[in-house]
Amino acid sequence: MARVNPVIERSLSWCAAAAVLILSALLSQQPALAQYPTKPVHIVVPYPAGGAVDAFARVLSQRLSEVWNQQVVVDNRPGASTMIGADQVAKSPADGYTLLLTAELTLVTVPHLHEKIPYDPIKDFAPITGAGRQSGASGVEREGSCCPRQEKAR
Amino acid sequence: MEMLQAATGVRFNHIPYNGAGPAMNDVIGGHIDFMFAALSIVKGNVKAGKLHMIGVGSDHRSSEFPEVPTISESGAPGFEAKSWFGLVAPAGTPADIVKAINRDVTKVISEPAFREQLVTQGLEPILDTPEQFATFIRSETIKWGKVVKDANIAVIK
Repeated sequence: MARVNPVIERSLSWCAAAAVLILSALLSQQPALAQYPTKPVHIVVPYPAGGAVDAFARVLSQRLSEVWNQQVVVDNRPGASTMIGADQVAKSPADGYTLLLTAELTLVTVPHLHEKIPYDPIKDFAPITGAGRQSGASGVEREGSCCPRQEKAR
Repeated sequence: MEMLQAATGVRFNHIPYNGAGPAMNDVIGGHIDFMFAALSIVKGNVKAGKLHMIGVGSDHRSSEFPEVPTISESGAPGFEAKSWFGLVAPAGTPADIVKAINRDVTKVISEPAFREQLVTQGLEPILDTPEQFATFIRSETIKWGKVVKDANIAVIK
């Protein structure tokens, strides 16, 4: 077997090491979809813990963390009719690691009812998917309070 | 509420509350006549017989209370008010990442066990593409913008 000159051998291994470094640098520069997510994903819920959106977020984050094999953290950021949490996400890096799970209040109602809000409900967000709806806002009254009923609600 | 006034011509005296919980207590206590609330909030007291559900605001009856009519079929045709929620990312998030999240979230939501959990909370799952969700948000914005304008609702400065 031909012996390679030790100097050449050393420089060859340096070359190989450099090639590996360059290659890995190239790979890490790509937003590499196949790799998403490579770190914990935060789902901001602009409501206190315990409500309908929060409950949904918790069930969703648990399953997603299993699917993604990554931590999926629910961050409750309530306040100012959901504006605080929404604004935080609007100003977060657009890299898929900070998401906002919220209701129509943030995206439709608050923008109509407040003259000034800290975010733009259309321009500041990339919609991902609708997730759930309540089976309609329902009108309720005290049982037996009003009129004879043709259809009882039970 | 404003939408129901517009659809029926009946005027209501709107009493603002700091949350649905205190409002519901006052409906049960007889201090106010009726309220609008998310189904998940009121369903316990409806089932317990403390509240009577007059109608649901969606365009179809609730699978959980199929005997309760929609408000639309009760004399306010076209009335539809639903509470919904969804997932958004900061603008500028790469489209392939948005698509990947959409794919995985909708996959999870459509799992039978997950759906069942939602339904017991009074929620119906939605499966959207990012484009469908964007279109939906825009149409809701137009719809409620009209309600706010027609009802001359004071904007908070």
